[in-house]
Amino acid sequence: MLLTIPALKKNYIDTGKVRYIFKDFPLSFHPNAQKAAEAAHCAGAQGAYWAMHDKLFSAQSAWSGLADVNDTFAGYAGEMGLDVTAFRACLESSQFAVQVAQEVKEGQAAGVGGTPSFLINGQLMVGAYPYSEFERRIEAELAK
Amino acid sequence: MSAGAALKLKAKGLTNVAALLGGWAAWLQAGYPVEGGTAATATPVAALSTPVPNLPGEEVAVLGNADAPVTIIEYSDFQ
Repeated sequence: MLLTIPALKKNYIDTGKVRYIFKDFPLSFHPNAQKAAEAAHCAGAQGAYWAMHDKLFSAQSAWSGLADVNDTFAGYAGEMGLDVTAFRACLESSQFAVQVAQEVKEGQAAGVGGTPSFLINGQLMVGAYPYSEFERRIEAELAK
Repeated sequence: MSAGAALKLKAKGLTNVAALLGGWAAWLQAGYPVEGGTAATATPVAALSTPVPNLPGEEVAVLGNADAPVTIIEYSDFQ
């Protein structure tokens, strides 16, 4: 969603028409996805959720095959100027594991079974659609 | 206790240890006193781990105003 968010942000989020919420849905066959979701929250605890979110997506190929991602994610935290000791403690203690699990449960209750999935005013849209599809659906909601 | 458990404790340096021939069942059968009561309640693991700070996802992973007419919730994993 890195490609569509900037356009959505400019045209709808910053203009007060759309509120955009990111929820975690780590898939079981992606072994590092759970830890990545926790890493984003650990960065969020230091006010850098979206910076880590973007970094994790853009650097995906660098960490997705690693046996242990903690060093790599701590490196990202350092690049962002975060308190690496606190970040590492957060990650290693799985401080946000419960919250991530809660988000998964919420998603499942809403009918989410794969990623990415979107709930646009509660209507489920499954798959990575181009910006134009978001635009069409948002405009339809705004016209209601 | 069993002979195996007694040996393990002795190996760890405990001296006041004895194996009970026939174990717990033999002790009961012989009519020796025991203390009754309910089993201790196990402490949930969650209560022992680091408390989760009060930062729900909505507060850290959200863009835009709460009163926007359209809400988009994205469910993704990073991998």
